[in-house]
Amino acid sequence: MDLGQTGALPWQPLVDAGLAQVIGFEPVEAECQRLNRMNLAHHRFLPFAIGDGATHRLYMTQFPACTSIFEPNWPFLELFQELAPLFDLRDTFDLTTQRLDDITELREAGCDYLKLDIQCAETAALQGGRAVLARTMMIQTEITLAPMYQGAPRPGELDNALRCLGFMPWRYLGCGGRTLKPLRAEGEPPEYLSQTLWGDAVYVRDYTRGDSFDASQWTKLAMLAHALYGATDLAHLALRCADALLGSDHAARYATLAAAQS
Amino acid sequence: MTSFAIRDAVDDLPRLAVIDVGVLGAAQWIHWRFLSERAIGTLTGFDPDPGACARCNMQAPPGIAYLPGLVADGNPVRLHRTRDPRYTSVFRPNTAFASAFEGLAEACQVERVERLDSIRLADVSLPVGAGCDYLRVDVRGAEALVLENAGGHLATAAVVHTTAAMAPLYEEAPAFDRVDAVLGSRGFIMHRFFDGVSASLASLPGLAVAQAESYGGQLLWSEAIYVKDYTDPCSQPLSVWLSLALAAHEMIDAPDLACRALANADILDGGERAARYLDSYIAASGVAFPAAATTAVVPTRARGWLARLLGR
Repeated sequence: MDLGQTGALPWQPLVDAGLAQVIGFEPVEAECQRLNRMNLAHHRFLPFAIGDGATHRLYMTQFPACTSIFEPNWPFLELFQELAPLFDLRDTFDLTTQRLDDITELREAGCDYLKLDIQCAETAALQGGRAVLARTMMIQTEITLAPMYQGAPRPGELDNALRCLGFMPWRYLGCGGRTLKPLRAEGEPPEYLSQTLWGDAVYVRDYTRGDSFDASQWTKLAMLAHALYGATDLAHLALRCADALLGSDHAARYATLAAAQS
Repeated sequence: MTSFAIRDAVDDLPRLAVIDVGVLGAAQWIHWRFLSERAIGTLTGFDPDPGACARCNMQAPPGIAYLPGLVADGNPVRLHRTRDPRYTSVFRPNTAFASAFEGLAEACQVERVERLDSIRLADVSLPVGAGCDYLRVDVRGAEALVLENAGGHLATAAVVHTTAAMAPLYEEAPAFDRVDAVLGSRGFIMHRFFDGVSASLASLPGLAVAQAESYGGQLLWSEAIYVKDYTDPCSQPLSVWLSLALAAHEMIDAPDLACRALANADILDGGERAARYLDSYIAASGVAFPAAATTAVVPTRARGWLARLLGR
């Protein structure tokens, strides 16, 4: 499941291999129908905006990836080089959101892997998705580290929402920022001197307390760890746990292949 | 680090009062002596072993002092001394978790447990008589306990540099979410995350360790620097902005933040510190400003003394 289908597409290797189906979201009904008519391989789009189920003002920004249900925090943004113009408003309108758990289709389909990048609405999406995410093994999410939006959850609130669902941080993929004016740092996209503003993190269901995982969950965790993140150790552990439930020998074969390629 | 001393540009900066609450206690004093050598400020640290404090206080230069005591929430605690002292904590190591990782269970093996009374930072008066300006916390899972009981020190502090627990390495220990919550409630924003410490699973011994650099492993904890929200100059007194400028320039490798803090101070009292700082910055970096650019820094890894403090 991909909430905020912009930028990185971490699930692509599994889709390319025909091993995953991606559910995306496009709240504009006509645009959603158009996307589905394109018949993208292994893709399906649902006509919803995911959130806490309430209606919010949507702030559409010049740089689409900055669009959010939270109003840009202008006094803070304007302190930085090359930041505030990204948040210039193109339009605003009221948007009715849906909780993940209120969408029957999602409750029935479940979700093995979630990518989140919805500009500070991640916390609300997670809090409304306990049932849909009950069997999810990994979540890659953007974390807004600094107050770029008014009234938005802090990074710790997002972390807490994920921990409450049984996840723990697994790794940070990187971060970005801007330089405070009037100093400047070169680079394209702009480099920055010190203030990080956002980052991407991967959370994993706590696999050290995996007694309740079934073989399917372990196997899917192995696929995600290997194909999306190259995490040989976690993939091997997950296969070993699946083997213990299935009586198979996938872990040993995987270890042989991994050693041969190292 | 920026190559000029900020005091050469701005002459009315105070001396920083730094507090170090660290798992390694007085053994860390050597990393803080630059505070004295560069006339940046004073350090007050803590160590539950009075003997270690006494030895440090005899060797360290003036302005660096360790007080006997274990800082937490003021309640009696059980200090779990581990084979690798870097993992010693008031929380019991989570052996079920640690045993999944290469070498971690051995490092976390408890060698003895000491029953101690903890103290609260809120009850500590600094020898210099001022509030804390820069707080360093590195206490393996107990960071939230220290910060939730820091009292007025969080009101005066401009910078908090803390470790943030990511994985459940200790039983019942609070994690990053509580650290962020308490600092948010006291007016801090995150400045940066850096120097995450990871472990490789033991399921593929050797191979996993060899590949750890390329795929990262399991994040155990990370360093996090928080600073007072600098958006509104009127949100803090002049002293906080001056302390933030000094710490940003000399300690956390953030010249742009130093300049912002000085600009905030100037707004409060009509000074011209930010302009003088800029002049020095341009002179030191040898570039025209602002048309040309400074050298970009990748701030996800500590540099300079910060790297030495973290043992990198």
